[in-house]
Amino acid sequence: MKKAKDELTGLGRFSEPALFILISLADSPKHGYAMTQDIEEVSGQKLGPGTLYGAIARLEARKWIEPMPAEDRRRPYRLTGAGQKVLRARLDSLKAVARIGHARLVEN
Amino acid sequence: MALTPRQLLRLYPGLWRLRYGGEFLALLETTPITRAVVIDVVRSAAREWVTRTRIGQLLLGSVVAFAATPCAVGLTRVVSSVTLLGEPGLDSFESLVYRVLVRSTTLIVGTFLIVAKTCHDRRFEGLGLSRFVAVFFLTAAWDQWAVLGYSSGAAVDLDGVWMQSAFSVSFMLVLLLNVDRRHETFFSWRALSRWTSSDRY
Repeated sequence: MKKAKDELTGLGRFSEPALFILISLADSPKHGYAMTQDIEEVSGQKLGPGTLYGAIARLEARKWIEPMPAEDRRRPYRLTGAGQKVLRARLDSLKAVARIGHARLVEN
Repeated sequence: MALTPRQLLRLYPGLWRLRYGGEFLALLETTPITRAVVIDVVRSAAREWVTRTRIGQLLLGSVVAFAATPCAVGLTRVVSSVTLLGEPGLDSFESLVYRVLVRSTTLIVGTFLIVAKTCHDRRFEGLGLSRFVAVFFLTAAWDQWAVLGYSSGAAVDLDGVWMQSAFSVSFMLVLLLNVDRRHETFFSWRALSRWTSSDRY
């Protein structure tokens, strides 16, 4: 589990956008524009096109997402099994950190 | 002058455009081209050039190695409080030519190390500052011995050269030993041969 988490943080400045993309693709395949809309709704952050495609390229290279046949010029992407595993590990880790943070807030 | 989506797309390497160009253009055409979007795309395109193309890696390696040499020499001289400037013959034209040759060699070595390391990591994110610092000290050590080679016969402070070189080399070794916690080696020959075969997309 720790290894998968490290793999995502190993994306450097793309680790946060990559996490958002994985979350966005968790329920259904989406193309670039739909991803930016979904990520903005979920996190309040608007990913720039360069950042989005930088992260997509890196996620695809690691086989955590895969392209589907293009619709017009837009190409949807979907989460792979490996991507699900990485996302689950990362979310578990974040959940644990959040739980500890909340507990400490309550103590004070 | 406002940039069009096609102009922004042209900033990316050709192979990247072949793979992602169509869908990226479709996204840009539905996005208002604000200053923030232009900065984001320019930064991302620069990163793609540096991380994914041989020419970008060579350029980065060259710039870093070229900048590193004088910095390294200056730094080691300050640290060891020994200067070789003003030694007989060092201000002559031959000396200048010699030093240019030496630094060109340094540049090639530095570029090789950086490119090889980048290949090994397969992404720019793994290329840490510590590697640049290691190349700094490697070049400093080499430079000091090169000066000694040129000045052979002239009155040179041999102890000073030894001290500087030993300092530089030991510092470099310490850096190399601690440089990378994720990878076992400083660079990989296999990765280098992969790099010479093609750009990655």
